[in-house]
Amino acid sequence: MEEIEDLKKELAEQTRLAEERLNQLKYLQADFDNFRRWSAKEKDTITALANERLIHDLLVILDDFELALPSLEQEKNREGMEMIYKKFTKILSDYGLQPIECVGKKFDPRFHEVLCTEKCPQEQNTILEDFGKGYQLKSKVIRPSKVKIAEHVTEKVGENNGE
Amino acid sequence: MANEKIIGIDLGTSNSEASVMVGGKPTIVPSAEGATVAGKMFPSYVAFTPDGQLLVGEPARRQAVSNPEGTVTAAKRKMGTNHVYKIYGKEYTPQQISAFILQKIKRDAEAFLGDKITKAVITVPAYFNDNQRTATKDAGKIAGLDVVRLVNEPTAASMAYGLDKGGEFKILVFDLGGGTLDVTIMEFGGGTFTVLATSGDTQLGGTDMDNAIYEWIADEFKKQEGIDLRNDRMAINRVKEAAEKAKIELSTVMETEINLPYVSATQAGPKHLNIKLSRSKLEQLIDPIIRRCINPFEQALKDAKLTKNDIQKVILVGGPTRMPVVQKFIEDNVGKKMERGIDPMECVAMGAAIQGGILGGEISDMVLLDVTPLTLGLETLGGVRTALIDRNTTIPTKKSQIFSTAADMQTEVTIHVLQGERPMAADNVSLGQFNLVGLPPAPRGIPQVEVTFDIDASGILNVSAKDLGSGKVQKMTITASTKLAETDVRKMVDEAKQFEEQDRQRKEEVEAHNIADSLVYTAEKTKADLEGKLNPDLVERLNAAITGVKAALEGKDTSSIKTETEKLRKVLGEAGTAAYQEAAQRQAQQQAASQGTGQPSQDAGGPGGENVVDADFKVKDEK
Repeated sequence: MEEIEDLKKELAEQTRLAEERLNQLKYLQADFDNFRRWSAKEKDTITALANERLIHDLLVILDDFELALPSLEQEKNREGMEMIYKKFTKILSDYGLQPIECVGKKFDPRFHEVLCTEKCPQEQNTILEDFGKGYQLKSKVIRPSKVKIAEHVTEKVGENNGE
Repeated sequence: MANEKIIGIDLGTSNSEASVMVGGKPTIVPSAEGATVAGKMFPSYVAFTPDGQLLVGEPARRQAVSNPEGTVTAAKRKMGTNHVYKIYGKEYTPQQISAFILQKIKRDAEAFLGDKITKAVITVPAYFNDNQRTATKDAGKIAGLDVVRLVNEPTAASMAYGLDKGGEFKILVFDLGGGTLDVTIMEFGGGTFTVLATSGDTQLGGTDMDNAIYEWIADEFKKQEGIDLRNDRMAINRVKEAAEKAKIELSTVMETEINLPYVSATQAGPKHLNIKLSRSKLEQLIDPIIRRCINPFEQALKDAKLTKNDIQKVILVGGPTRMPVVQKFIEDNVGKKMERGIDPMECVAMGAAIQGGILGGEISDMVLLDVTPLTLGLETLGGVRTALIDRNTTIPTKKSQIFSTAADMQTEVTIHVLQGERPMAADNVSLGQFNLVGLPPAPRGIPQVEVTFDIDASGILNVSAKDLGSGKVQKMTITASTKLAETDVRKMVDEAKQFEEQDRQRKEEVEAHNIADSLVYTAEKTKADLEGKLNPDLVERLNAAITGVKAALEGKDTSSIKTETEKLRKVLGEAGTAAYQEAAQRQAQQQAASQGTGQPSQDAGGPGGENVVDADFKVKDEK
């Protein structure tokens, strides 16, 4: 009789253990399923991000071009360089790169970064100058514009006039 | 979902970040503004705009210059004090400010996981007192998070490195961030970390290094061109970005070029900045900053009443610790004891996520799966090791591959199971071997033997070989496939690297030999198949080439084996082409014949009788 009781106990214990393990297995399976889905999603993000990094790193070349072009006065040199520049910007814009609009607009911390302010009669937070052109890739800002914005004062101050 | 995820949060003075267990591994939660070059962290900034908007993280930092009275930074330094931030007529406690950061993390984590988050583990500096800890918990509460545990930052970093797995040792954690240095000495034993001493400098970090580089570049340019770039906002911006990039690059290369065309202009024309910065120059520039690390370092040891020889493990935390000069500083002061392999910017958050995983029951025996420490494979033709299961594959796992025989009429194959990273069988550890006998006699390459390696969760390897033709199976079980001491594993992996070139050559030799041997076999077979259909000259050349390869095979010189093999391949190709051309010609002629003489091709004019005969021949050929 005692042996049967022991066996019963043993069986109950084993059943409980089996259930517990099965439960853990189900969770693991679920976790794995979720992970697989998540991992597929992440692959897309990584591809997008890889492009983003490359395009971000190419922005300095775009900056160099924009600084170089105005100083190329000789017409024949300028034309060729402009063609290369156009081709380059075309490729980047095909990938969804757009410059962030800046001077004259109202400052928005989602797109712009303030480097300094200037007291002037213009409306508060108007962007006065762009020190580093910002870009967005599709809807994501990959480099904010670096700007100077207006700190509104009435014209009477006068000191800063002409600056 | 019963097991709700508990996120781990590194709530830092200058930057914050969160991590969560995904599929059993800590994974960094990306910030909604997106991860860019700066990594996945976001600045611990909170701001209120005059028109009442709340900004957290990157957007808050971007407007800080124009809205200093509305922007709060480093609220962590005020945690646990009675400090009150007065912003546009409203009052906020440091807890409330921190809560805004935690709320953003909560939102980002929920977006990332697609699930509600209500529980968190938050890290705090080891020196935080009760007030500061309570304040941190309160910040969590305000943000709608149940803070299930606070973990010391150095403890979290140690957990990310798996130092909580057992043993007894003393750890030094060197945490150099953007603006602060924390040195902590801990003792691990009996499953717990005990802080022995902490020291630090609240005004020392990576930002100082960036500035030193920036100033140097500006000075150099002034020396070269007489222009001070510090007067030009646009130039400052470009130089600062270039300085940071150069600093990062110099962690992996010895010299970099800072190249900023059209950085400035004078009447004479545009000026370009083109300066080379070497690693040694960089180290010289930041040396004063590195020197300032010595005091806190020595103070911590002194307070712990230890010497550098008592430290068994060193953990580096924070971006600047990636720099070789910082690592050298540590080596010079405590020797080579650094733990490696985890991003120093992510290890605190990752450790917090691991703690969350343990508390949430996600990490248990069931999910903490083992990996095979070394590659498992078998010996194939010419003593080559063919890998079936690569090292670091998570077990349980099962892999099958089909092999064949190397000789005609071979009736048994030997399965020799190997463990190791070397490409030649003899250089690996033999785990055992067995024979599969009774294969039906067949030409080489015809029999199909499926070999299966199956490792169960406890590391027991079952190897089976099945002849798919006869259905015969032979098996063996190896129990010690994963139970290797870590030092042995490391030794074997190191050896594999050391002998890489030598091994590659040997493998190439054997492969050249195998390819040559099998080509001779094919050539002889082809010759027999096409007997009488090839012109005698070609047969002659084929024979010569075969003899050439056979002679080279006896000579054992790899390059001559390769040359001879190439020759044979060419002749064999010609033979094949000739056979096909002949066939194609016959077919063309047959077509021409069936389409009659109306065809305006050259062949069309040929005598019809011949065409018919050829066509007949073709049909026979197809049978």
